[in-house]
Amino acid sequence: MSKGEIFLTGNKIENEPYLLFDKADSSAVHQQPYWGLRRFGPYDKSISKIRLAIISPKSEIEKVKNLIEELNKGTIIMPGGMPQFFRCDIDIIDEIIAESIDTNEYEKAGISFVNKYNPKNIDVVLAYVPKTSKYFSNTPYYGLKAILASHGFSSQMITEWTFKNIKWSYLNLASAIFSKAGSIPWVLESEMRNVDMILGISISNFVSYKNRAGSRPRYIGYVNVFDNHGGWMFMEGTATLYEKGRSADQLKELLTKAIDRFKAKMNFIPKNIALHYYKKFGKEEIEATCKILDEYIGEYSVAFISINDAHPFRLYDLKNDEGSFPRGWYVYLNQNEILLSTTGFTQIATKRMGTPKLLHIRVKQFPKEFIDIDEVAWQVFSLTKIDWATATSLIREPVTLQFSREISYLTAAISEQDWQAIVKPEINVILNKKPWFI
Amino acid sequence: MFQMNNFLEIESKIKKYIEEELSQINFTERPRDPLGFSIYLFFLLKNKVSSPATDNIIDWMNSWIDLIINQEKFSRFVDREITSALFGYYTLKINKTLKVSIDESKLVKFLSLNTNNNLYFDNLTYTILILLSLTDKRSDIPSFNRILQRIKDAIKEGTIINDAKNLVFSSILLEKLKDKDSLHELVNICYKKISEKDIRFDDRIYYSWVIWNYRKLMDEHFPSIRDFVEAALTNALTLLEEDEVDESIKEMYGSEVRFGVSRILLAILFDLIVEFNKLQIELSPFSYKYIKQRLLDLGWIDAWKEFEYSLDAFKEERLYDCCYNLRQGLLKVWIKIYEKLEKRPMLISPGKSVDISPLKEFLKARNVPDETVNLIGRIYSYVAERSHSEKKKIHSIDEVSFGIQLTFSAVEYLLRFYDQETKIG
Repeated sequence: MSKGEIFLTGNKIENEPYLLFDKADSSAVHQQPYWGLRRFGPYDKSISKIRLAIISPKSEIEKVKNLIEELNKGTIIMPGGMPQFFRCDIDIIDEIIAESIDTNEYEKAGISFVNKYNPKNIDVVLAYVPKTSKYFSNTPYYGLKAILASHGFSSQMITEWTFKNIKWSYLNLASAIFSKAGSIPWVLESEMRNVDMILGISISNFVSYKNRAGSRPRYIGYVNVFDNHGGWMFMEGTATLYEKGRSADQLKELLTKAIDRFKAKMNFIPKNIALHYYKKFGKEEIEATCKILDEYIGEYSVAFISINDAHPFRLYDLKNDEGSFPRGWYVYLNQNEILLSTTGFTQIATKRMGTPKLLHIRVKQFPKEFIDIDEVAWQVFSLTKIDWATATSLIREPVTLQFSREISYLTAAISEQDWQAIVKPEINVILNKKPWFI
Repeated sequence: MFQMNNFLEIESKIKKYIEEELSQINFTERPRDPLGFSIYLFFLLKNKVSSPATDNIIDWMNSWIDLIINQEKFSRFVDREITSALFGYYTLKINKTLKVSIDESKLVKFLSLNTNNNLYFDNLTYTILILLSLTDKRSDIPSFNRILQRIKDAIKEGTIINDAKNLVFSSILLEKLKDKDSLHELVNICYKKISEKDIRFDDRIYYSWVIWNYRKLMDEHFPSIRDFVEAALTNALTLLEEDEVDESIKEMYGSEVRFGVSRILLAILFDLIVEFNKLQIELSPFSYKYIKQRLLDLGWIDAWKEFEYSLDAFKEERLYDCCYNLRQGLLKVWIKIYEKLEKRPMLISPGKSVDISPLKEFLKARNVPDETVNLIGRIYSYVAERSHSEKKKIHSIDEVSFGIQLTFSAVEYLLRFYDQETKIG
């Protein structure tokens, strides 16, 4: 061994997890979302129509309507369109015109829309907005999304970029519209072992100063809850706005809400819980969580799984032509820590770009170990396959983190009032059946 | 050409695919798709498929019923496990291969705890299969009619088509319940969708199954029903093949690494093609070609037309018409040969049925063995007796299929005899 070299051992996930595309037919399985939808249609085949409303400037309305027509009719990439891939059609219920592309005009259009409709009668709002950066908060995107969400409407935004890459946008759009209408496109076929409930948690997220006089920052937390098939169940947010350093309180609010709703939906108390977080869990957060679970569940096992890609590690495999470290392969850094490749060489996708960014996964378990690191690798790997906003086979992050990130962009841009409207019970009961934030 | 080898081939390929798949399953492990196997079992037994694979699945189902219903050893998938075991129980019971008894009242109680929105396990497919399996216990299940109404509502509202496999299962249920009105409504929905040419590829098998099995409910549309089913079946094997796709799709979404086929779809396809093939007749391509060619060469077009009509009538299940045309075709050929070789017309009394004695004597006089002549005579009588619906002589399709084979053999023999005689002459 030459100076500076170290040897690591590793392992690999032999087969891609299977996805299930029918609620009753467990042979309707496939490893690739695109092919699964094309062959079997969606997991949930109970809806035949999606009722859609359009909000758009006058200049773009025809383009948006054509897009819907193409989705229904089908394209080269999506032969048979919505009826083939999702077993339903999209019906345009109404078109609302935004007078200009100013944020104010979109907000006006949004307000006139929410005053006119009950969220029970519209499944999704499709809005054409100008392309703006995710990091600016005062944009038509966030302005409109906040108004719609705070009144119980889920929305899908499209921009000029959607049309520039229209060939490949159709299916992702279709999948997002279908799931935002409250239906499930696919789930994992087999269960993830030794776990009942998986939480994609995010705490201490900054809320925008919009419509607020004070200068003290306020924070919120939220959690996306998944079952052991990777099926997204619901999202819960903190109703309280916290000040800095109150992570234990946020965790308490989120965990109790999540467990209660899980119990009500599944008819059992989750005993084995996995928490996914993009940061490293702090001592205080771990202690607070265990205390809450002690009080709330009693006998439990919890795994704190932190997953991040902001690290300097890179791995290569010189045995394959492109040198990338294959998807599903991982190396052990120690018995609780691995580097997992999710975007390296694989048979299920040919289009890949650059050196794969590995996921650095660290696990801490309490009160004792109940899941081994290989099972955690499988869990994280499986969860990369169920982001319903895209039908591509190669997703780097697990959906637990992906969904959290989507909400964090939103919460940084919307006002306290909007957030509190979204989490209030009468709106939450409508929204939490749909991943409205993706 | 009237050849159905292709459909028989498809039937045999699908049967082989199912049997091979079953032979590879390790039934000692808890299966991931018990409902798929339960549906396979239902259709294999319905079609009287007997093989080691069928025996294995019967044995497995008996133990599965015991494990799930009696011992209640469920995994997390209680819904699919209960549905598969209960449907398996029903299948084995009606096929008299059930070796395990269950406490039905306990099961009914368990199901009532898992009813929500008038659906078992919140799933329409499971609900239909469970109701079908429990039709005999109808009076013991207080919620039976309410749940059944939920299914009928789905038919009335047209939402039953959202998941096309439910068309098949609900039609079986309605038939079992003798609910003619709802069944008729369901078949109408299917026919309407077919007429609108608005059915996706895989779903065509489910629609075909319904309209083919209940075609008697819409006799007037038989030709278009037949065309639809035939087209669906002709393309059926592509379900087992990889699609031809645009290269850019492969680049973006990857090539389809391992494609799968739904067991429910495959089982229903198998049943459909077996049913469809019952109305097919396999003729030797050599005989068919020879007969057609000779009759057309000889200019005996009217005789050939009779055979064409008979085959069409058979395909359309007009069995008496089929036999009538067979009789007419055979008689025309026989008379023409007589008249050509005897060089005189055959005397036929107008208004009376033809007396075939002179035709038989003529053959005997030309050294055709008595046994052969009598056999041709009996073939003539066989189809003649079955050519009048009022006589009610036809008891099964197989009788008519047999009549076609016999008549074509007799005609081929007569034509070869004629060729021989004219060569000598």
